[in-house]
Amino acid sequence: MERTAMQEADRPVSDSEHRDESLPLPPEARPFPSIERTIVEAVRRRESEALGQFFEHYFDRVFGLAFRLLGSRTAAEDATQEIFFKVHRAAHRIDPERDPAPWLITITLNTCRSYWRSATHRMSRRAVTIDSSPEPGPEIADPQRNPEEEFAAQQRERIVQEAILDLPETLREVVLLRDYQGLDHREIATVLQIGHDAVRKRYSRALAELGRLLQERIP
Amino acid sequence: MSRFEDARRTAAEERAREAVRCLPQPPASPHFRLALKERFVAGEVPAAPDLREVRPVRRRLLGLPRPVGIAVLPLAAAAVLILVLGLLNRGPAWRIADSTAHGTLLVDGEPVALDSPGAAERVLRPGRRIAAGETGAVTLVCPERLVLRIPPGGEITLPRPPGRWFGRTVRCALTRGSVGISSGPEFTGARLLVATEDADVEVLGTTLAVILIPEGTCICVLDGVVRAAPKHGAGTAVPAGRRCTVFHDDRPPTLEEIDEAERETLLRIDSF
Repeated sequence: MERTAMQEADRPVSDSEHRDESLPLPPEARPFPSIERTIVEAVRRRESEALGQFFEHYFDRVFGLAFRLLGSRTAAEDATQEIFFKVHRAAHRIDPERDPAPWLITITLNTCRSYWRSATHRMSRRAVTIDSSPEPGPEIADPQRNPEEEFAAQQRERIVQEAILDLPETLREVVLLRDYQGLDHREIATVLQIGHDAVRKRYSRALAELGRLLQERIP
Repeated sequence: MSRFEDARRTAAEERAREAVRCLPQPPASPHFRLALKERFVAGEVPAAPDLREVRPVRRRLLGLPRPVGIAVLPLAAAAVLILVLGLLNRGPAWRIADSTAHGTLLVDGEPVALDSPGAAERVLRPGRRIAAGETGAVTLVCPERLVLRIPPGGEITLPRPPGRWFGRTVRCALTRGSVGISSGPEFTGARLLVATEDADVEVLGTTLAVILIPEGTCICVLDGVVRAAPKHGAGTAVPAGRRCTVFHDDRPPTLEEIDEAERETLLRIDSF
């Protein structure tokens, strides 16, 4: 039976569609990788080797998400340090039966939200000029690109990051979790403690707003 | 996200999504990464901050968060002002004139002994039905404002004492017999409205008697001016020395001279 547009929109979404098989994620998508249960159990006991493995397993994702949320290397380093300190303090409460990634993402978001609310961050955002922020990555030349291409890529990254920072924080979180971290709507709903429909709406609004900003800024 | 939703994305939204997906992983400072890892593995982690110390003390006002307190403060001040004004505005309480302090008083039909005036005055609350006992008239006084003389057989609902600045119009009802009324110096500007079954009597500072008679209501004025009106008719000014009778039926009110007996009664009331 042919469905109307309304019926199609209201149709319950299956697990496979949650993972968006119609639109495979590019290699750049960075879902938080899962970790072996034995390592998590050892982290609970704060064993040094397990802590080191845990750190290496998650550091890049945590730092990357914090950087994209906050738009500043300094702020991302502060936030990442605070996040791992929190993990260490709460290590004995980690549930080895569950993937710690959602918990880690939640801590990352909460830490970044605290930073957003801080006077330091509000002052730094007011002082930002188009030339100074967001901070570009270290100058690591990609041997496969010539300098002009490298410069263009860095400019594009800067513009996109600036547009992300211009999004309201609730929309920024959703679009980064979805398209930068590769979480599906169900995982985002769990992390943000909101409904699935709310995630969809926020994501749609985020893309609409981001699309508008980028259209203005990228010729 | 369903295929259907993907199909609804605009070109700009697709570009935006692609732009976010293509953002590179920002490399962290190697020095920072190493230092943090060492601290994390070694457990060199500061204790969780005591939020009671780091959070600014939220100043409170009236026990509420300051912004709420600021909004509530004018209301609280107004409430206090109204309360104080209300207390100051209250007229003096009714008391029983010493000369009539004997026998009994009926309050809402219940006898109250007059030999202990303090006990009797405690029951003199506005709105209560007050009637003289068989032993004699009783005179109630609101100092400097009103005197009510209730002879045997008379019953009124006690009015509220008129206030100092507001609530200057007070009401009572004559339900049986008669009542003599005299106003004092502090009554100036106040009004007493006496209602009977047939008439509404407006007292504006005077000495008068309102008497229920078989034909209707009789208003005798010693001093000042009183306006008397039938329930469904125009009012009549009753000047000093005159008596107005408002009838049960449709007869218009009459106006006559008061007689000596009535004058004597009114003079006694006026003497309080």
